[in-house]
Amino acid sequence: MEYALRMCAITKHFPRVIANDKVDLTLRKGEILALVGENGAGKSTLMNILYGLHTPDSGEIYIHGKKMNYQTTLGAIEQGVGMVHQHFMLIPRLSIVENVVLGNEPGSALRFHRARAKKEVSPFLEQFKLEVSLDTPVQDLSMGMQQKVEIIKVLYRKANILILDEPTAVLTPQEIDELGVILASLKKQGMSIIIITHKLQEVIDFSDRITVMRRGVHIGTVETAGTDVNEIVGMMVGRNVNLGQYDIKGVPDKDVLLSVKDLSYRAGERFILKDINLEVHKGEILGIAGIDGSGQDELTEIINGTIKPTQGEILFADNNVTHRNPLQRRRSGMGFIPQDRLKHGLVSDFSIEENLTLGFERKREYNRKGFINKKNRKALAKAAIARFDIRTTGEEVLAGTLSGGNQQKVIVAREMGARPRIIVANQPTRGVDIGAIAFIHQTLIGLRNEGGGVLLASLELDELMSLSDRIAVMYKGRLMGTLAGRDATREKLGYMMVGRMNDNVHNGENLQTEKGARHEKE
Amino acid sequence: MKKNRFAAVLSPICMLLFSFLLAGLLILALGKSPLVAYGALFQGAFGSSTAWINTINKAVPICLAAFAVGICSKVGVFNIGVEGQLLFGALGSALAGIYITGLPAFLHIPLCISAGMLSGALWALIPTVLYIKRDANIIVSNILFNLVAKLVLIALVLGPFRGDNAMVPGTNRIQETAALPILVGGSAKLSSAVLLMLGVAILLYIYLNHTTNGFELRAVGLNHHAASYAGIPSKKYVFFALLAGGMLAGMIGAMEVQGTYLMLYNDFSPGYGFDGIPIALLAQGNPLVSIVGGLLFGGLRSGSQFMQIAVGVDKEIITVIQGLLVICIAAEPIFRRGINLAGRWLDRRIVAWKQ
Amino acid sequence: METMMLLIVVAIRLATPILITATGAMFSERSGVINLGTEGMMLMGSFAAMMASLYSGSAWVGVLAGMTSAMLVALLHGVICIEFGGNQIVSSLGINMFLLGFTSFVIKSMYGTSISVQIPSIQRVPFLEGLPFVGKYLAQLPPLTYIAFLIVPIAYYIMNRTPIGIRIKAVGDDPVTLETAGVNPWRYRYVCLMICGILSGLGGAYMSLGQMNRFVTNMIAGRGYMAIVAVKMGKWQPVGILLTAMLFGFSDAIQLQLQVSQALPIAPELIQAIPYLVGLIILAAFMRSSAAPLALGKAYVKNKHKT
Repeated sequence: MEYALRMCAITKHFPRVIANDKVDLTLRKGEILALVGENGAGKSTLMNILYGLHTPDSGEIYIHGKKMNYQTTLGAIEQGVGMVHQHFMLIPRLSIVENVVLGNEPGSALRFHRARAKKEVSPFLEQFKLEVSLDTPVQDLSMGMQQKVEIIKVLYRKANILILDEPTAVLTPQEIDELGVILASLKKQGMSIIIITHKLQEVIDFSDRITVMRRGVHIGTVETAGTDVNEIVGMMVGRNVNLGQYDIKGVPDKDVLLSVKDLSYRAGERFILKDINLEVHKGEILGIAGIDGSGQDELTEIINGTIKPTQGEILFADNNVTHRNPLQRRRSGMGFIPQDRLKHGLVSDFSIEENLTLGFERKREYNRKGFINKKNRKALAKAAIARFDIRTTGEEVLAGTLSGGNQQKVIVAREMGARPRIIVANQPTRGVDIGAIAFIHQTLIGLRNEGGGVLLASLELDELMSLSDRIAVMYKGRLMGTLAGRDATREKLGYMMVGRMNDNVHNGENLQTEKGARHEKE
Repeated sequence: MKKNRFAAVLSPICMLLFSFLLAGLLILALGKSPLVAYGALFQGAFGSSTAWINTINKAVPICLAAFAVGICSKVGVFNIGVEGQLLFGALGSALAGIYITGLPAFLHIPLCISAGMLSGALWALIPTVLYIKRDANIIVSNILFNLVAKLVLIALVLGPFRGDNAMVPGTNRIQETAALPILVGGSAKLSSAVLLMLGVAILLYIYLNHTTNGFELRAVGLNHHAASYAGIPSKKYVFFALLAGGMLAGMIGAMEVQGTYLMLYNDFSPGYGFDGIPIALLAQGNPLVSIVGGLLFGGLRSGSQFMQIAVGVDKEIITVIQGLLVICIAAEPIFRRGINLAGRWLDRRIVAWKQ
Repeated sequence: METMMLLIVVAIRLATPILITATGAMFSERSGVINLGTEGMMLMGSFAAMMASLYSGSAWVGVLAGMTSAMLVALLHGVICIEFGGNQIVSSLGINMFLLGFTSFVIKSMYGTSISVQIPSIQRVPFLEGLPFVGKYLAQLPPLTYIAFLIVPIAYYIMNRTPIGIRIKAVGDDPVTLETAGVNPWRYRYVCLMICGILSGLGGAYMSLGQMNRFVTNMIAGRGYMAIVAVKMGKWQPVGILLTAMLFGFSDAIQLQLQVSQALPIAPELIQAIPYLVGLIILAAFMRSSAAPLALGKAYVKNKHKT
């Protein structure tokens, strides 16, 4: 068997954690290997070591049988290793051609040979069916196109080992299929490919073999043909966790809890949201699907009250709350789980105790005539830590030092602690370990079963389909339609997520495209 | 945990020693003995009761400056405009002290202090509004405002408000009723300004650490996104803190006019506004810790005059030490690493010795 | 006509130090490093230039010394902020404080006052005098002014026509991206910061050798900060910076003219404040800009990103 790459007994320590503990990994020539594991399992560290971004404490790397000892990305690139990062490594203000050749610019140090650069890059654009000018700034491209530029960047450097870190996170289902085709053709050209992912369906679809990591350790490698999702989940978490099977009781109420009417939001000339109408009923989970950047973030922030809509209103329990601030909204029974927990959800330099009161600090139990009731605050924090299973050594620990899952639990504990009637959650399980995901899902379902409402925006279709009573789909700031949870399939949702109306999905072929895209020009 | 706290105390001490060491080398290079110079500095600062009184009098404006910088740093803004604000505070206090007559002292004193605080806040208002409304870089605008304040003060003090004595580059004396009472008389007078400063420190400490408002203010400074998301009016708190900084700065001016000079000179401040910066940075905005730093810097200021006269080392060396200290604060990661390395080396030595 | 030409000459003379320094600061900011230390580096440059010019007898040696010393100061800022991720604002303000103290202390210790003795300077280009019409005006400009106007097109070329320029833009927006492309981002930040130091030193040397013929404590008087304002208003582009620097030069020239002519019945100090107020207005009017480097002021420390 010819190996393109062998990594032997790689060990890497970070302050307080062992990111990789004697990890072995092999990659055959011309195969697609999936590297899977939970957040913090050490996948990215291992790949960053391969790519020269980190130096391992010990261990060896062999490429095409030759022992490597490079310590920089330049060394890795010279050995034919290329990496497409989850957060694209592109400079938005630079053009496509400048981004592709960055670091390998033709010409001399004192003269950039732009014409030659363009000549060298343009064949790739044709191969990837990118019909844009090479001088287009990258910031004007869609995420799917930017990913292609990233792959071109790697090919331009003549890589034969390609690493893709969570390549599908920002793509629509259709773009994911397209990526599959591209990867297959690259494989045919003799490329050896590693995909880092936590989406198991893709693993099964794309890969030849699967390597599983957990807590910095290599758990095992299996042939894709001989395994199934359950086996891999078992390997990833080391125990049986049932995701996607929840105890959802009863049907939603007729009464409307939250309604969004004719909502529009404009930034400058551009509509970020346009004519949104939504209703969340008592005892209902309403899912919001859409590719990243379709307006979900703005919608949830407008419902929170941090940004003001250009037009339209928000009714909560029959009260018009459009002009109320976040504090008043919280007081009237709304709870919020923001998309970016470190930016919007927590103050990392505050203790858990302080974070548990953030936004509620003026409530009677925390506030006595303008002074903080520290005794009461501490007691309540201790209770919340126990009830929500926040793993920590004490309530005075800084929130920033907790793991992602525990940080998210602090937010959930705070919002649920106020006994809300509705929770507005935007990607509440992003970057959270599987145990915490299950806990958060149970909490949301618990609220629903007790007659509360949930508005759940998520990029994970599996999450939406397993939790939602109804799923509304957004595309470029518009609502494309709403499906009943039981009717939703990945395919239907996928079509709507790229701007094809609900009814067109049923009509099948000859779809009338991009109805929703028109407003961009308005 | 314990080790970290140890390093947190050790590293400012290392920074101070390092700054004094380098400045000492400079003194040496210019042909004077740093030991003699520092000896004179220490003697002038803490060597007698008179020296202590002078030091405390100098520490008052420096501590207030540290509070003014500190409260702004709590909302995440670097307030370098204290120097300009305190000049205007002095102007406000002096005008109220000179031209308002016939009031009893118990009204006149607080009135003048309020006038000073208000003028300081007014001078802070424009950069603050530009920062909040137009996102204009508040560091640069405050630096420009400092320069303008200095020029405007000279123009006013040597122009329309010039006193009757042509020999003195300043205004007339303020009314007796506006002068702060003296605690300890003698060759050096201890002004009651120190009590006001201590009062401010305690109030500020309670506000920041024990009130709900203070909690919200700190939340804004540490993460204004999360604060806004939680419904805390971030911009209002930034606005409030920057104006509070201006008021505290204005109070410095008032203390100097009403407690020290009893009139307004055009260049009465040797740069108190800048003295507050390293202290506030080291104390991380904690007012009680700032007092320790304020005493030290007050000692430097008062001792340096004695040093200049006694051993002929120019008092500008104080600015050198302060500048070095600020550089060291920025280089904190280097000091932290150095202390860690030294600690590990020491651990190994101890283990080896035990064996 | 005569007054107009003279005003222009004075404006160019006054714009020169800000132009040189701002062009340097553009490199630093473009690479993502905040350097408010331009003020102190200029001061160091003018001080070292005075010293070297005094002891060597050659003003050009002074220029060289000014550039070198300010470069070393920039290196210090670099070690603190680029290597160890120290706070860029605090470091550069500390540098300004230190150098203000250092230069004043040395001058006062040497001369007992805040003004140095007269030194060899380079204030004119006599051989231009022969040119018709404009010759007598051009000859009044110091040679360093001509160098300043040469630096602008060179900076433009570097930023827009060389791989170095692409990489500088890249490191200022996102150093991780540059590193993953196999380029050492720290090297580019260092080089840019050193350029900033060298040019600030040149701008400072101009003050003591081209503008005057001695060193006075705190003689930069905020010009280093004005240079930073010029970079921001010039949208991090050499041509924009040139225009802004000229605007500052003109407001300064007019201010001087007003003081001399006593045309306005206001105190001279208030007139002196005009250029600062112009800077402030510009700051307020032009601050928000998408041209700002995205990673400006953000430390990027080796092997610490991503875990």
